[in-house]
Formats: sequence, C-alpha cells, structure tokens
Amino acid sequence: MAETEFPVLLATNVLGLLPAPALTRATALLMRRFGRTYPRLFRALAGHEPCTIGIEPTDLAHRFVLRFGGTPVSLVPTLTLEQPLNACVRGRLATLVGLLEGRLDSDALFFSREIVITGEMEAIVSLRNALDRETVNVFQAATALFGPVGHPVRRVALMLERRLAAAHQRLTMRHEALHAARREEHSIATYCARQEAELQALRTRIAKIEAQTRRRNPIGAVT
Amino acid sequence: MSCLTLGPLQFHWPAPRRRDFYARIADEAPVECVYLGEVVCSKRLPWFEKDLPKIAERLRRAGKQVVFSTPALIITDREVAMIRALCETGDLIEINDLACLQLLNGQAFVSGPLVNVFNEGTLDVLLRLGAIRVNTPMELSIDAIATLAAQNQAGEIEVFAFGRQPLAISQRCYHARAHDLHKDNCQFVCGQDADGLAIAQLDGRPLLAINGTQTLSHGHVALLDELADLQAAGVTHFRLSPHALDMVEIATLYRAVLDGTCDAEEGLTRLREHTAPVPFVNGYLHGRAGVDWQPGRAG
Amino acid sequence: MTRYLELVCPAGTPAALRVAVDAGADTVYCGFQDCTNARNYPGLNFTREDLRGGIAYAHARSCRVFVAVNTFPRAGDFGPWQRAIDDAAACGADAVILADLGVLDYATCRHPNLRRHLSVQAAAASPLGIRFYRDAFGISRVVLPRVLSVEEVAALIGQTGVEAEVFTFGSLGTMVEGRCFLSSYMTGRSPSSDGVCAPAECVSYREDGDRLVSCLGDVMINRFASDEPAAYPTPCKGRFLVHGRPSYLFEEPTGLNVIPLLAELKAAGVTALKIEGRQRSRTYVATVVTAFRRVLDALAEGASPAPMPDVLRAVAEGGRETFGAYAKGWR
Repeated sequence: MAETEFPVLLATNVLGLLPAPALTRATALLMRRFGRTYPRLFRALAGHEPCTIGIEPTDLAHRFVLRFGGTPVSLVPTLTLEQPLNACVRGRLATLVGLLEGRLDSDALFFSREIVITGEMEAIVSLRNALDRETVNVFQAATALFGPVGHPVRRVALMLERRLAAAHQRLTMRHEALHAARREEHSIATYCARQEAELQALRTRIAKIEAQTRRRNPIGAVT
Repeated sequence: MSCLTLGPLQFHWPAPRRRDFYARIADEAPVECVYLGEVVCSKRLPWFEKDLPKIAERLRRAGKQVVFSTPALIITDREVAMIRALCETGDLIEINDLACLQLLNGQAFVSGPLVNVFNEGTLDVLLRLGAIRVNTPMELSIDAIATLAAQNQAGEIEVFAFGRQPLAISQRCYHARAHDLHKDNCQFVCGQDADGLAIAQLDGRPLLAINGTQTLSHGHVALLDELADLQAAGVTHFRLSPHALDMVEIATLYRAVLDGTCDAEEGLTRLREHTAPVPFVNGYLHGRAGVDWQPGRAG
Repeated sequence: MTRYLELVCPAGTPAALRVAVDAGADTVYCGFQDCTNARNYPGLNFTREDLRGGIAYAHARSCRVFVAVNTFPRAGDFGPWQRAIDDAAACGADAVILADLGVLDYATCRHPNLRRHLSVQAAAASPLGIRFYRDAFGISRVVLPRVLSVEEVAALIGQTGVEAEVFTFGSLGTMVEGRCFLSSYMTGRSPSSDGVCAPAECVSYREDGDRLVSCLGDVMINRFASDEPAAYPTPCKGRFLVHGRPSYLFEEPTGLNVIPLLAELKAAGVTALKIEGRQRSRTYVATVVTAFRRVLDALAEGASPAPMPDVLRAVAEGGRETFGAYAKGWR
C-alpha cells in the first residue's frame, strides 16, 4: 500500500463511529486545509453559480452536503439529504475518494452504475473538471491536520488499514467457504436442467425426422 | 418583391405521384422557383431521374425558375458522377455539400440550406466562388439572418419557411434500421412514409421524423408571422418544403400573407387546418430551441 | 518521434496534456476556454497561459500540440475565432484544426505559415471535397468523418494527396458532424456555433423507481433498467419509440475502438490516429493513451494481430465498443 493511498476500511470504520459534532468539526478542518493546499481549485469553485450537491457514500451512515459558488466551499455531514439539491452523487466511499483524487474515470463509473448521479449536470461537470486539473490527496490533507505528528499518524493509520484488510480478507474467505457447498448444488441443478433440455430438443428433432420420413414413404418403410 | 420557392422533395414518392405533383405545381402553385432532384439518398434517383427533364420543361413553360438540387452528402462514386453530370449541363444547381465547388469552376450556383453559412466570412467565400443565392442554415436566428443579408445586399437570401426541418444527415439509413434491414438491401422502405416516419420519446411525446438517412423535426416550421420581419431584414426568397399536403393551397396562403391580402394570424389558422395534428415549430428563428413554438404578434 | 502511426491524443486540461505526453502521445490536441472549439464544457479547456505552458511541456518532450478552432462563428461575432487563431499561432501551436470556410479563409490569409488541418466538423468525406479545401485553403491534413469504411478511407487518400487522420477510439457520432442540429433542436445551444453537444446545463438524470431517466432539456432521451449500463443523453444515442417500440434507432451507446483494424488503416495510407475525449478525465486519457502506445509499439515491432487491451472497454462510452462505420453493414 502506497504511503499516500487513502485507507478506506479504516476511514469507513472510524467515520461510522464518530459522533456527528466531531465529524462536522473534522470535515470543516479538512476543507480549510484543502483551501490552503489547493487555492486554484477553490478559486475555480468560488467563481461558479451557487450550488448544493448531496454526497451519499453507500457504505457510511453519514451523508454530506457540498456547497460552492458565492459562499466559501463547505462540506457538512448530515443524516438525511432532505434540503433542495442541485445534484446528488451516490457510491462507495472508496469510489468517491478516488473520484475526488482524480484516480478514477467518472464517466466509466457512471456507465457501469458504480456511481449514480441525479439532478442537474452542470454543477457536477464543473466540479469534476475543476478537480481534474489538480492532484488532490485526501489522506495527506487529513493527516496533515495532526500537525507535527501527522507523519506518525499516517504510519499508524496505514498499519491499521493493513490489519483491517487482512481481517476483511479472512472474513471473505470464510464466507466463501460457507457458501461454496450451496453454489455447487446449484450448479449441478443447472447442469441437469441443461441436459434435460438438450434431451428434450433431441427427442423433438427425432420425432420430426420420423414424421418427414413417414411422409416421404407413406407405405410405412420406417422400421 | 419576395419570391416563394418550392424546395426539393425530401421524401421518396413513387414516380407517378411525383409527376402529378409537379404538373399541378406548374399549373397552379404561385411559386417563382422550383428545386428538383434528390437531396437525401442517391439510391432513389434512378426511380425518377428520367422524368426530370420533362418536369423541368413543364415548370419552365409555366414561367418558373428551375434549380437542380444535389445530395446532402457526396461520398460514393455514384454521387460524384451524379453531380459531375449536373454541373456539365450548365443548369443552375443548388449545392448541399461543398464537394460540388470543386466542379463548378466559378459557375453561378445556389448554396443550399444544408451548407453551413453561419457568418459573414463564410458568406464572402461563397460569393467569391459564384453563389448567387444563399440559403441560411436551419439554426439561424432572425438577427443572424439579418446580419448575413446586410452583407449580401446585391445577392439573394433564402429562408426555410414551411415544412419539417432537416436536422441531420448520416451515412446510416434509419428507415432501413427501423425495419431491421441494411442500407444495401433497404427495399426502399422509406417510400412507405410520404412525409417521413414519426419518432417519439419513450413517454410517447412525438419528437422527430426520419426519412432514410435524414432526420427531420416532427413539427412543421411555420414562418408566417415572421415573414414581414424577414423581408425587412433583407430575405428575398422563402422556401416551402414539399409534403403530402395540398402544397398549392399552402403556397397560395403564403403568397397571400406576403402580399398582405391575408394577415398572419388567419394564415396560421388556415395552415393548421392542413397540418394538424402535427405541431408548428419556429424556435430557431427566435434564438431558442428549434422544437419551441413562439407565438408571435398573431398568437 | 512518430512510430508506426502518429498518435493524436485529447487534452481538456493542462493536467490531461501532461498525462498524455507522459503516456506516449506523439501529438496532443486541445482548445481554448470558449465557443471556438467543439468541446466547450464548463470548467474545461485552456487559457492562453495554459496553452503556452502546455506547448512548452510538450515540445520539451518532442510532442506536438494542435489547437482546435473548429466551430462555426456566429454572424457578427467573428472576434473570438480570430483571436483564437492569432493566439494559437503566437503560442507556437504546431497546427490549427479548422472547419468553417470563413475561419479557414482568415487563417490562410493572416497566418499562411501556420499548418491548417481540416476538422471532422467540416465533414469532408469525398476526394472532391478534400481537394476543394486543399486547393482553396492549402490544408495539409484532413480529419476524416466517422462515417467511412476502411476501403473508402484508402480510396480517399489515394485521390487527394492530403494527410489523413482517422478516429480510432472514443465517442462516435452517427450523424455527419458539423451538420447535426439535433442537440440545438432540443436545447437551443448549437454544437456548430456554441461548441457543445448535449450541454451539461441542459442534462438531467432522475431516478424513476429502480430506473434511471436521462433528459436533455425537456426531451426524454433514455431510461435505463438497474442492470443496464448508463449513457449520456446524446440525442443520436437515445432510445426512442419507432412504430411504438423502444429502440436505439440511430446508434447504441457505444464507444469506437478500432485496434484490430490498425494494420489495415496503415495499409490504407492513414497518417495519424485520433483519440476522442477532451471532455473526459485525465484518468481516461492516461488509460487510453498508454494502451494505444503499447499497441502501436507492438505493431511497429511486427506483432500481428494487434494486442487488444481489455482496460479500454471500461472507459468506452456505455461500457461497450464498436468498429462503427469502418465495419461493413454499419449503414
């Protein structure tokens, strides 16, 4: 795992545990950090028409509201997205972070339905194009918030991420093993059904050939 | 004085129907100019090519100018041979693909509505090359048309004033595709729809019409309310595009509105009797989406 | 240095330009931040300063930069297009890609030494048409419309003596480009003059039960079931009712990929391969350019058939690929 790669599993777990006020404070700090690190990005967004975008990570309980244009850029966590939105983006946290960092192709994710975008596209396209000019790194910005201990924090976070990944993998393997037997049964059933269908088709074909032969030899030469 | 023209027949009508149509136009329609020829698909031409000289002669005897229209897209050898033959007759031709310019060598021509003449620079080039009349593209607003007309005070400017608007041309035949056929073996299914085949949105609202390789608006352009403004802007010719409607009656109506013997409001009401239930469109002229209908002074 | 065939790659941002150059583009093409080019999307394209920087970056790595000024100026508003040509020349662009007769005329008179390429937006699809542009405006290269078969491409090149650049990957219009008014018919904004087809401000998506509905202006362009790949609401790739039956009448939402035809295209006399997608992300640019660089290098070393990188399907429009008009039966 690269030094700067976003630890998705850790983030999903930590963000899930954070109480709302703490999360609000953390995202506000992160946005301020972004503003300092990527001033050109923030200038581009400030020049846009006022716009509100809902962000819905499907593997988190929290939703986020991103505002830009006219006002300073803000990202606020919320439990529901009930306010009027210009557009909404939905997808897994890892996917959304990948988009933010420009590592993933938004169109490809849209085609494959890994992200779902609803509402007006103008704001989304402007945001995507503004982000695509930068090389945003969420993990670096987040750990930089810890100031001088940022680097150790990064190391600990990455270690935790590796452990979580290993645990996750073990879990997946056990899950696989549990379900393998059932799948096998299923595949045998499918195989039998296919054989049955083929047999039926052959029977029909033979019957047809017999009928044709009978028509050609009405005397009854078929034996 | 403003002239009415009858544009080239965009649809694939059987030869006898074409002959009857143009005979009636020659005898009864108050149009000054008639465009003949195949614009959409060169495969259709052999069906009626041999009738064209007679039709042209009859129209000329009736005092109408005849212009030969050329295809919207020139790619195949057959299409090149077709325009080469036309250019050599010395007749006035309407170009719809700039490839024709390579054969004209300074000979006078009409620039058709499918040529992109969006600005004065392009207009200048075409005038230099011998254009005596320039059709404005479908998309232009009345302001853009006025700017172009001001640049071409000595020449003629023509605007598409009635009929389904040509919006796109392709190499692919959508009529064939709609019938699960290939273009090479199309069985001329486009002939089944004398006014084009209506295409609707998934919710059932009509949107477009297809005609072989061409895509048209579903609505009819109906510029009656705008005729006076367009005349004032310097437009000299107004084109009516043939449909399976009473085109003599429709031309008479346009003539009456141009001459001021019928007001635009009454003109639109009477026109609607011919075209309903197909809606009117005029959005482009007013700088809006082409599909829009902006009722003018006449409502 | 061009090996096998020149690889011409898209850049919607300076970041994408650097990515394309680094991934092995022989040439990058881009446009200014206005209606003078056919990818006038919000937040996309180059300022004059961006272009100067981009050209310096590319030239330092032996990569060329073309500037697309390939829309049709509106009547009474020629200024932006004149400035685009003048500034492209001043920034040191290796060529300008043009479509409009007036713009071609201006560039020919004012900048006779600036290489002029004919854009696909001019839709010159016959030897006659191309010779007209060659004789009238001295074009050195034509970008061929995406409506020709390989045989037709070969015939064209043989009869014109002008370099040919063909589309090999990316979005595929089924209509003759530069002459398609479907998008303006629905939105009022013109691909020809505003440089934008299916403009973002007219596009909306909404969920209807478990289906996704895409609209362009007031027009419903498509409705996707939950297990279907989604697509942009481009009018020519919409699903419409024909004889009351839903169908992709014009074209399915697919992306062009002609890697298996590259050897044939080279044999046909093609000079350059164009990748579409200035409106796409820099990740798309990196993925596609890297894949094509590998394929072209393999072909240059005698590989046959061309290796087919499967990373490309995911970034293809609608997640599906087609040979488009290059294949028989497309029409």
